[in-house]
Amino acid sequence: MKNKTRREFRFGFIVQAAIIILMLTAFIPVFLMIILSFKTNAEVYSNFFALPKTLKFSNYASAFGLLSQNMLNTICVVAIAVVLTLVLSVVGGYVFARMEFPGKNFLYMILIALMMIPGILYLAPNYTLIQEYGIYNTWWALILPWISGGQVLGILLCRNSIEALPVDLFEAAKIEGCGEIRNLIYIAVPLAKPILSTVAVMKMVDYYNDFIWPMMVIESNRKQVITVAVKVFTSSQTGGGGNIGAMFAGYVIATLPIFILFLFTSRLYMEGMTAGAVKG
Amino acid sequence: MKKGYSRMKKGKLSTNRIYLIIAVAVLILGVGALFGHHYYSGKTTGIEDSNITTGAQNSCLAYDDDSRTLIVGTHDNSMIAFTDDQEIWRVQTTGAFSEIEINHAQDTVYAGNENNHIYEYSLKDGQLINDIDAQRRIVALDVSNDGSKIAIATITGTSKSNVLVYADDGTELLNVPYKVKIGGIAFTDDGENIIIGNNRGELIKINADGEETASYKTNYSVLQMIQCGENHMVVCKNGGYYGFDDDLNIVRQAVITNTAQAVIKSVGTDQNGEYVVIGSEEGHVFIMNGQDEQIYTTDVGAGISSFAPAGQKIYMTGMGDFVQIINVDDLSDIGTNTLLSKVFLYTAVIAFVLGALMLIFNVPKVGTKMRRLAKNIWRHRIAYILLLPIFLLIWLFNYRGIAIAFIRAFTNWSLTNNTVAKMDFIGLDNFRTMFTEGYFLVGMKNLVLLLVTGVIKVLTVPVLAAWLVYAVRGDRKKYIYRFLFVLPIVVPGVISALTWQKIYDPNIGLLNEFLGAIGLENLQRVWLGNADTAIWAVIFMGFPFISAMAFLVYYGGFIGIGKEIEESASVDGASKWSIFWKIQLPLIRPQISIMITLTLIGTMQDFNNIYILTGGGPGTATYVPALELYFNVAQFGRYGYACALGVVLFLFTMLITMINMKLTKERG
Repeated sequence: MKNKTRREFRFGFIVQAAIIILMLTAFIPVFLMIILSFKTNAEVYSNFFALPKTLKFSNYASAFGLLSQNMLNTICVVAIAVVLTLVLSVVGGYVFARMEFPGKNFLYMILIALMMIPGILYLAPNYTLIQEYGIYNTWWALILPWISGGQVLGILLCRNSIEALPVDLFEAAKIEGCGEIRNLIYIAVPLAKPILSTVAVMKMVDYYNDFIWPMMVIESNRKQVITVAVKVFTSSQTGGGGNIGAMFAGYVIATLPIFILFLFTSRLYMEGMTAGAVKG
Repeated sequence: MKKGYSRMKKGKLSTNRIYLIIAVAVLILGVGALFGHHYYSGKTTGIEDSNITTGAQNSCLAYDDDSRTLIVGTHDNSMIAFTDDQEIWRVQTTGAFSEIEINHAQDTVYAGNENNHIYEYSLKDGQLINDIDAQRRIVALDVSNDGSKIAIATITGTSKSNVLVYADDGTELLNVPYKVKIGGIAFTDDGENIIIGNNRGELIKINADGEETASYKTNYSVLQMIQCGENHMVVCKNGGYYGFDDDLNIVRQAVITNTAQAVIKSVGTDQNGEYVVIGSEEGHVFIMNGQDEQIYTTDVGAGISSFAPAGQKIYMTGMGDFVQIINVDDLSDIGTNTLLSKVFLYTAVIAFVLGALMLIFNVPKVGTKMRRLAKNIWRHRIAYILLLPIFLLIWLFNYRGIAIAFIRAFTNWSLTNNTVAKMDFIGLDNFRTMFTEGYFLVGMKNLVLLLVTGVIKVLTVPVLAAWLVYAVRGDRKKYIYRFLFVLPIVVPGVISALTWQKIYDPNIGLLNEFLGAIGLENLQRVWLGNADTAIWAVIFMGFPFISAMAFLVYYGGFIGIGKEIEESASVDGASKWSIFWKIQLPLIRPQISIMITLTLIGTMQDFNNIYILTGGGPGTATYVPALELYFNVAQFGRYGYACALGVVLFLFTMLITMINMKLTKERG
């Protein structure tokens, strides 16, 4: 028995050691980013591994000066897109969960089939369609395609969640004279809040991370989102007159919003990630 | 009784017949509308070929309205005059003509030549009247209205310019040197002053003594200056144009929408100076109306160097043997014509749907059923109204693109063949190109490597990490470890890729620094710049490969198994190792198969990391089909080929999804 406890203890020790080693390795890029963001160019070149002698906050000031507009853009566009996605998700979820009408299954199938079709298939047509619609180089070129694709999983999750609510709830309200719209607003939306917040966090991260599409459809840097701006910023900071520290400070700045989001909503974040995998 | 019945039947029959007739009429209307659509969509171009050929590459042209004479200068040193498409005279010199001006007061033609001479010809028969040697390369030329003075801008070296004014007989009246490049020159209406535009974006007015009397600053290099109705106009490098009067008061200004990022070269206008036409080095033509709205953009495929107004038409030529006519008359109707063609198209569609519905309603039994359905749909209209925005969006931004992709994968759709009229079906040529061009094959080789390593990555470390956290005792500790393992994904993908690019950096990269610090300098490499190591550097990005999603999915799987099985096995004397292999791993097979599928599908579509790390390079060492697709859309404008690549990638993902579904079903 004593032998077994010792074995258990040793096992526990090995497990924790392995976890810590793995974790430290996984964090290397993050540490690198943070440490270098406080260094001067000279410190980077002369003594790469040393910690910075003084924390050079001016790196952050210069990076923020160049990226603040784009950060603001991102926050605005993502916020608008997430709100619209949620509205579409809950409306679609309610209609497919609680209403009966001809062609319901067919329409639902058309919607869900989109999840099987990779976006890259229609990258070229969409690129030209955006110009045809006259929204090239505007925020709508980001928002509309985002919500169009983003609503699909939202509707699926909302439908499942609203279908799981007791039918009596809606029937009772109907007897009292509530129409479908009131049912939707006063019963479905409040009760679907948990799933809506999962969708919100999930989509926020999705939209925030988008890089290729904004790069294609937004031309002017004034309107550009942070991910593309950081890439452009990197090109301007590497080579001759660049400031390596400021470059990494820019990376840290671009990471902060999602980091903060994660701190407050880590449970939803993790749920969202696995919901995407399991339901999709 | 019998009579009444038959009459009733007859009455019903005739209503049916009326219905039938209306249905057919509606269908015919639809056919008519389709023809209307075809007619008007043909009148939305506004640019046609003239019948003029010079047999050489053209350089410049000018047009005289009174004698209907078009004069074209060519790169094989000749200048040819045409009246009503017939050649009337031709002159030959020792250099190519660069600019032609017609003086209406004297009916003479002034031509600047690359042999540094200004020639003056008679408009009627091409007789040489005068020959002035400017001794410098002529970049712009203008003649005063009365024909008494000629002004030219010249350039020697890279930025030494001169503004020269000659009297009609060749005496030099003025010579002002400048240290900038001059793009355009013009006399004011009275012929007393000269306006020049330079590469600093300045418009400068100088008087007969060469003194600057007024100036205006645009922000971009001035490329060309023309007469625009009563005023002057310049075009700048950014695609902006300014109309201004003799006193440099700006009367109109705008910037073209240049999504193709064309290199602007020339500007033209019609006789009244209403429409503005801007040409580019690549052959893009941008047409703006009097309200400075961009009404038309096209690509003629060869650089546009010169325009000449001819009443309501504008002649246009450039790097090739072509003279095209822009019909401003048509242009002003392009908006209406496009609208009409659209209206006709929608009318046709509606008519066909309506006609078909009416025909269906006419079939007795089906008709009743359809009527019931229609009623049912109407009763649930609220559901459809609520779904309308959702389906409108997926039509506009998903299904329309999908339909176009599948159809145009078989066409030569491109930046130049960008209208349905210009596109041709080319069968399977795009798919054949994939095998002959080479990029796709290299890309597939890399993709297979990425898929195999991707699956290995998602099957090893995340499983291990999930199992380790699952094996930890204490919920709080578990929670903290789980939180920390997931935490690194807050770093946006782009930032992560950029950071890894810096890790691989040959000079300040962590990897080389680390190798240097432990004394392995001989292993240091230019990781991303070396064709042998680049693809492996891409693969090793993200080490130690703890994908947060895979980690969470596996962790969920282990939790789902429950402690009981493990404990009972443990009591039976099984080691942790064998419990993991024999019990836990088989039980999380559903999670493993999900992760494999998602990894395969994701890897096929994703090219963000490669785009940032290497851009496909060095050479084609890290190309993948998805990246090739992106380049074909965003940089080469070969849309049809990009669609074909998309279709292939789509088929691959479908195949993987189907295999996964089949396997899941067999297991279930």
